[in-house]
Amino acid sequence: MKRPRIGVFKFTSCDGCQLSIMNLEEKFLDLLELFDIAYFRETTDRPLTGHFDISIVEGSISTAWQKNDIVDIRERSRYLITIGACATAGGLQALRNWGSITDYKNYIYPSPVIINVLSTSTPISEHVYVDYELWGCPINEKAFSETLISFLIGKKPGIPIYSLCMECKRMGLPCILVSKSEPCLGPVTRAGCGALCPYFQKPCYGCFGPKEDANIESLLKQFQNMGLTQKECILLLDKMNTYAYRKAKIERS
Amino acid sequence: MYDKSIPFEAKIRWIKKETRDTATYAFKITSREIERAYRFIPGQFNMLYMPGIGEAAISISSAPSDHDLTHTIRVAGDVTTAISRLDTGDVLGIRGPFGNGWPLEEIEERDLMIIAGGVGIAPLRSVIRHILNDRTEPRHVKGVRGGKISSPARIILYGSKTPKDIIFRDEFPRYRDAFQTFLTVDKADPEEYWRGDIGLITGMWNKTSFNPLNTVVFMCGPEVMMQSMVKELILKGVPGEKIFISIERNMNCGMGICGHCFFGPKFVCKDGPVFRFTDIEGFLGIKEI
Amino acid sequence: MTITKIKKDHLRLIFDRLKDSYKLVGPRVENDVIVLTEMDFHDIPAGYKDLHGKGVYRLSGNKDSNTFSFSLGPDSFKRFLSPPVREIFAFKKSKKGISANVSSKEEKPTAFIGMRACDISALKLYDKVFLEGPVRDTGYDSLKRNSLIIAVNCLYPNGNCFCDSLGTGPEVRDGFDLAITEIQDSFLLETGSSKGSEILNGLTIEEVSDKEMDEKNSRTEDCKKTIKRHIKVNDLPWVIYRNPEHPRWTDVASRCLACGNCTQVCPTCFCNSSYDRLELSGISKKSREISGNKVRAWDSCFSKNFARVHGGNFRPSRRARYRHWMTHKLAYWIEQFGSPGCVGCGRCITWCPVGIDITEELEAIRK
Repeated sequence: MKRPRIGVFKFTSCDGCQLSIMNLEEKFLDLLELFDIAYFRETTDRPLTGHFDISIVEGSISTAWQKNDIVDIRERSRYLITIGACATAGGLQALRNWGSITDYKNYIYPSPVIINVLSTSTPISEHVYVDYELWGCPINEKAFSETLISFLIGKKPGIPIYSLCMECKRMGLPCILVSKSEPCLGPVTRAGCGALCPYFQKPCYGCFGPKEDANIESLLKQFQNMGLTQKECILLLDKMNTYAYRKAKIERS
Repeated sequence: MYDKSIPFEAKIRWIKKETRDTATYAFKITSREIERAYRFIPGQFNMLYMPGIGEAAISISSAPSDHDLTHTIRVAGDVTTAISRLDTGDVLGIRGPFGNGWPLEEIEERDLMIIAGGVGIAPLRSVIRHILNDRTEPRHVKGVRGGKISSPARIILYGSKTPKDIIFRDEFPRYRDAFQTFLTVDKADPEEYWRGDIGLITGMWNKTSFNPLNTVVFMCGPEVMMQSMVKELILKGVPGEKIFISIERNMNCGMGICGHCFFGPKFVCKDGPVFRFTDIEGFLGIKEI
Repeated sequence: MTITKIKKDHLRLIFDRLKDSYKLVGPRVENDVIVLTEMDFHDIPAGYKDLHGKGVYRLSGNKDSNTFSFSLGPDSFKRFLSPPVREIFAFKKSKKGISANVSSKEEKPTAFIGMRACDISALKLYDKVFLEGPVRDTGYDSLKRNSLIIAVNCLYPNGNCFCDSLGTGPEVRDGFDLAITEIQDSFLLETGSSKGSEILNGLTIEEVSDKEMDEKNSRTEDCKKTIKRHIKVNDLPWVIYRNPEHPRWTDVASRCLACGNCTQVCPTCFCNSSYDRLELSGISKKSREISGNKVRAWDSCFSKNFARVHGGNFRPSRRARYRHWMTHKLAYWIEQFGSPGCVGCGRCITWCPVGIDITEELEAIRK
């Protein structure tokens, strides 16, 4: 049987998710046995040709030409999976969606005219149809390999969409929101990271994005009862998944 | 006995395509020992297991007295899709049987009305074949309630989307030996020859003859259909205690320890899937129960 | 049942003795919270006091002269009897067929130290689910049978305790091997099984005087009196059944995060999901083999996918999911297993990030 052809593509992002794929280390060899990695600039210089069974896309759409490129990739692919906060939620760079791009340009760059970008940074799903979204900043490599296996054997990936709390409690970590009044985003964030921050007694800052049906309003109200100002609350959401959290917040209220 | 939390292997003996998305699979349990210990009653279900993909709760569509153990499966999710790709001779895992099954003791000396919608006919085929195989059951002629006056009526009402979606269509002529059968479809392609009814199952009342007070109803189908049917049946005078419905919920363990399948206070997997209407009456109308 | 006593500093000897044949699991302070882990005598958070509010927990040390001065942490013993993630079997599908193998490993029996009355009641409910159903859960069965329960009578209930209303505490009545009651100068020991009395063999145990029995009783009474939270149970389950469309459900849904914390800390919540866990190395394309593990993990009825079937979800809204959880706890359980599924430990109140209080919600539904 032929191995499915995989392409890994990148838009505006930090390459961290692609690095996570390479962090599979010896498991990466298992991956190569099952899949033909036909395009992956981070690891090989094979040119971009033909069609792909699965395209894996990292990064957000933030320039005009990227808008065309993603359509091209979609046309070449049977399945398209986005990986990471940038491709799935617009990334940290989506913070500019809440401000004015000219202000940012003038503030940061000595000659702002040469910066040719869109005024927003948006997730891939706002441009083309996406078959599966893998959250995280960066993604969890186990979840990544599970997703590929699922596509290979024909099932929906069993990656949880429930809250981080579930994972945190399974690991036996007491809730730091309750025991230390830490503003932890766990209750509104997807599981999948292995409760990394709560494990080290640090509040979750939401790198896996909003969970299904996230009740952000209610959690922020609790943060305010704990003494945070409204502005501080919003800042908690304004990280790599700002676009997704704010959208979830508006949709719910 | 064998451990019902561990699947055993079964081989597909034959596959019969029923409709475009539904097929009947006959299984042969590989282990002699388990095959001998395996007993079920009509209305029970098995958890069919595709290693790596998962499990699906599928009701048994054959009668215990049948030669083959069959499941009639409509392609819906990952597991059923994977099963649909299997061939004769392939294997899968089975856990079961689970659930309570149809209360067959209720139908002795009473009229039986079987009401099915869509693939809901599968668990009822088990009852139908059970009755057909039972030689003590009186045979009727041409669907009219003939024969001896004292013999109880046996009625099947079956609704499908279109004539092409009728499952076990080839078996219905045989069912007519013992049952008055009424088929109806939601809509029929005018180009296709269809002389049965068009419309809801409830539209077929006037064709049937049964004594409501002496009738037992076995019903399986979409929940909306069953709810409206129950209302109609009760208006007709069928006692609620004699209406049995088989319902569907998310099944994960099949043995009452995972909590997925709750219907109100009932574990559908171990208290059901067949319920006496009056036992769950209070919960049927509640949204998102 | 016999009651004896030991000197306060002899408690250590019991621990030493247990260590030989048991793994000790009990309360210990980790990151300012009392958790249940493997522990030893010196780990007992003696003198610690825990403050419980709605969605608030604080621990402070050296506040009390008693050894068992503290109450409950977030963990319940279900973690050790029905572990959060457990392999059910390893499967392999090859040309030869399908095989499913249960691996059984001999584990050292566990002694559960300091189990309170509410948690003992919760385990009785767990028995009903896992042992008295149509299929006995062998994993739970062997873990439970292999365990020893050292119970402790509560001295100070926390602010969220309401076991008294449900008759599940604060006094330990049965279901233990050894029960400890702390009084001023000594520990009173009740044995509840032969396993329990074996532990005391060879220890210097003394007779209990009438005065000490009185002290035990008065301490229990004092404990009962300090329980401030109550729940009315005489109209259950009907009061909930009558109100499936009560406006309060919508109100609580606006606060509820559906994060599942309450279900994970609840000692009686048992919901779980089984799934196949695969690794890249478990698939071989050439020989068409797939191997992996069937795993059972804790789940929660607050997960959106929990009641999903192909083509629909039976409880898509948060309102329905909260209603289902509370109705199950306080009403369905009564029909299913003969008693409420709540033992009044108050963990769901303390550990709810937004402090939703089940007793308050029930009261509101009544109105």
